Amino acid sequence: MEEREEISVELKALSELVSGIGRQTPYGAPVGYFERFPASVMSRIATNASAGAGPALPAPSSAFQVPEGYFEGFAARVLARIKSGSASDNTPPPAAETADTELARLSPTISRIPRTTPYRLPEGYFDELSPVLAVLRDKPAYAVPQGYFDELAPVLSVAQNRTTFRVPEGYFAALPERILEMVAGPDTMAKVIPLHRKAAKVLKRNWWKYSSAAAIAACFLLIFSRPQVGNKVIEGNKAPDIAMALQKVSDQDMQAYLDDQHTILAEQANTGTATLDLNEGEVQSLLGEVSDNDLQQYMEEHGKADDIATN
Amino acid sequence: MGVTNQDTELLLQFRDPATREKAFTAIIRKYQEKLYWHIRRMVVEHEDANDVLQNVFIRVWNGLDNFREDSQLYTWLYRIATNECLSFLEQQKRKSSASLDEMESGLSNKVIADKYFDPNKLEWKLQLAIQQLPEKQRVVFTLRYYDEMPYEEMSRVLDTSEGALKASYHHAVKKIEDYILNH
Repeated sequence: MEEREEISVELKALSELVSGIGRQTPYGAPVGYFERFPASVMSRIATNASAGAGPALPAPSSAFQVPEGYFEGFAARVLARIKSGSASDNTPPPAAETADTELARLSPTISRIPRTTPYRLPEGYFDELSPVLAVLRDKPAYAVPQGYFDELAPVLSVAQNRTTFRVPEGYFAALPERILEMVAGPDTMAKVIPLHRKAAKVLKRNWWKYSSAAAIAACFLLIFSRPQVGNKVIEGNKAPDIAMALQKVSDQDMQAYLDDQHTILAEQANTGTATLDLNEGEVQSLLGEVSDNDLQQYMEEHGKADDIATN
Repeated sequence: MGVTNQDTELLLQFRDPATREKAFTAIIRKYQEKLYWHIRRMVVEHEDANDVLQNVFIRVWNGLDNFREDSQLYTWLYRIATNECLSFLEQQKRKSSASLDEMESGLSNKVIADKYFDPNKLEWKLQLAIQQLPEKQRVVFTLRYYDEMPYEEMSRVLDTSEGALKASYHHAVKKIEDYILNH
C-alpha cells in the first residue's frame, strides 16, 4: 500500500495530467479467456510445440476474442497429450520426422484438418480455358506443334485485326482534299535550306584563290620533301645546315635553280603522274607476273615512253 | 527477497512428478492475468498477447526446475514476459523490414483498430501516447504505472539500475503528457 501511494505521489509530481487518468487498461480480453488459458498452455507443452521459440497455436478465428466454446474439451485433450508425450524442449525432434508428425508437433489443430483440397473445378475447365493446356497435355515434349503459337494466343490474332489508336471520323476521306489544298497554296512550298550555305558561297566565289594557294603549297612540299638536293643527301636533322648553305648561294644561282625546278614541276604537272624512284630489281619484282609480250604490247599501245611513270 | 510461501509450496509440488501438472496449472492461474495485461500493453493485439503469453509459460515450464529461489517467482516471470515481448516486437520489425517509427505507428494503428477504441476517452489517448515511447521506456512506464512495481524489483526484471529506471520513467511521463496535450 505504501508503494502504491509513493507511486501516486511521484506521478503527481511529474505530471498532474497523467496522474489524473484512470489506471484501468481499456483493452478487453475475450470472455473466459483466462479460465481456458492454462489448458491451452498445457496443450502446447504436451504436444512438444514449446521448444522456446516454437510456433504458437493458431490465432482464434475471430479477431479480438476467442469464440464461445473454443476451448471446451481442451483440458481433456491436453491431459491426454501430456501423458503421451514429453514436453521437454531439450529433446530434439527425431531426425527422420515425417511431415505428419512434424505438423502434429507444430500445430495439432491444423494436423487434424483433412488434406483434401476442398475446391472444385467445372468439368473440362482446363480444356476450355486454354487450348495450350490441351496441346501440352497430349504432346508434352518440347517440340512446338504446327500452328502452336496461333493457338497459344488467340487474343493476339484478334488484336491483330483491330486498331488500338483511333482517328477522327471521316479523317481519311477528307485527307486527300486537305493535302491538295495545302499543295496548291502559295506558302506551302517547302524551302530547302542548305545547312552550309554560307560556306558554299565563299568557296564558290574564291575557288581560284584556294586553287592557287594549294598549288604553291604543293610546290614547297615537293621541294623540301625531296630526299636529295644537288646530289647531296639531306639527313633528317640537318635543316639549319641548309639555311647556312643557302646564304652562301648567290641570287643568280638561286634564280637559275628555281627556273630549272619550275620546268621540272611543270612537266610533272602536265603528265599528271608521280615519280617513283625504283631500281631495276624493284621494277622486276613489281612486274614479275607480267610477261614480256604483254609489256611490249602495252608500250606499243601507249606509244611514248614518257607515258610510263616508271623507269 | 525470496519467493512467497505460496510460491514455495507450488514449486515443491512442481518438482514432484505426481503433482507437477497440477502445480503448474496453479502457477498459470495465479499469474496469467498480470502477465497477460503486461504483454497486452506492449503488443496491443489480443492474438499477439496470447501467443506471447503461451510462449512465456512454455519457457517457464522448461526452466522452472532451474529457478533459483533467491528472487520472487513473479519477478522472474515478468522478466521472461518482458524479454518475450521485446523479442516478439523485434521479430515483427524484422518481418516487416519496418523502421522504428513505422513500428510505432503500426502499434498505434493496432490501438485504433481495437473494437473498443474510443478516441474521446483519455485512457485510449494514453494508450496511443504509450505506443509513441521507445520500447524500454514503454516497459518501464507500464510496469510502474499499471503494475505499480517498485524500482528495486523492476531493476531485477530489466537488469537496469534504479537510477536509470527513474530517469526512463520520468522521460516517459513527460513524453506522454506532451502527446496528450498536443493531440
